[in-house]
Amino acid sequence: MDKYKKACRDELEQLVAREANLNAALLCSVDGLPVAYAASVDIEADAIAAMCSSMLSLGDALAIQGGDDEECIQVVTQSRGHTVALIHAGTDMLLALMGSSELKLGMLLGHARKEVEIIIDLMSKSEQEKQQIEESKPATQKQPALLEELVKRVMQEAQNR
Amino acid sequence: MDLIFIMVVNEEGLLMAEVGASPGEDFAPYSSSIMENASKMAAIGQMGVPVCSALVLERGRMLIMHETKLDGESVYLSILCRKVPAGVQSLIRKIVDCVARALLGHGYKEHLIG
Repeated sequence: MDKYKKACRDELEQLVAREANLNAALLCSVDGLPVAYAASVDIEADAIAAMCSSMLSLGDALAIQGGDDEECIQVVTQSRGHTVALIHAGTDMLLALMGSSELKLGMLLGHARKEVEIIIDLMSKSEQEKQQIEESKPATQKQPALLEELVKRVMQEAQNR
Repeated sequence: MDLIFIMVVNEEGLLMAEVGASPGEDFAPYSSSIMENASKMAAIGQMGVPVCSALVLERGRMLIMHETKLDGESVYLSILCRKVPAGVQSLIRKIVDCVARALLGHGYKEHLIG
């Protein structure tokens, strides 16, 4: 498991442990794949991640149809017993928090926003670490970032022969 | 100290927590507008930053409102009491500590402003 995924899972576990009325916290990619989650009840992470991704995309589409030129900030679904808040976590992730009805909407959204800040911070730190590792590798070990770069290198080598 | 209810509301006017005989969701959005007016009034009158705003009600009750910042975001408290509590400010501080702990976890003290 990636270091940042573990850090995200630890963070979500801490949040679920801290907030008694929060049943689950799930971080997933915008294409609906679970990245990390913590839950005090049994959840089907794969199915929920897929639904959350579709729901937030729908919210984004509605916001744009409504006249905004940006994606929506959050999508909230409230039923009699539960509240689900979906919020973007950076450009390619989303966070879903599921709470019982005792957890007030203001608090649920407060948790969601704070958690997103932490997750974005963890992701950017992980990205920086990856870059540093890549930069510290000798030139021969470096993976070509783009196909174009690879083609250029092959052509250069051919010319040199 | 005779407290009737305590409400905690975020800057969008959404209820974050309530204890006691609270009036609920409909009441919540007014917390921010009252505190904004009080702050503007104090600023125009050059009276400094208001600690809290109070509404004296019939039957000896008083609604005390307070704005605090948690990690850059405003949180509004509304406290209805029958007799004005002796240590209003320490009571407010205790409530803010509870909200901060719930919202920000163990490192919450670093994020408290004011």
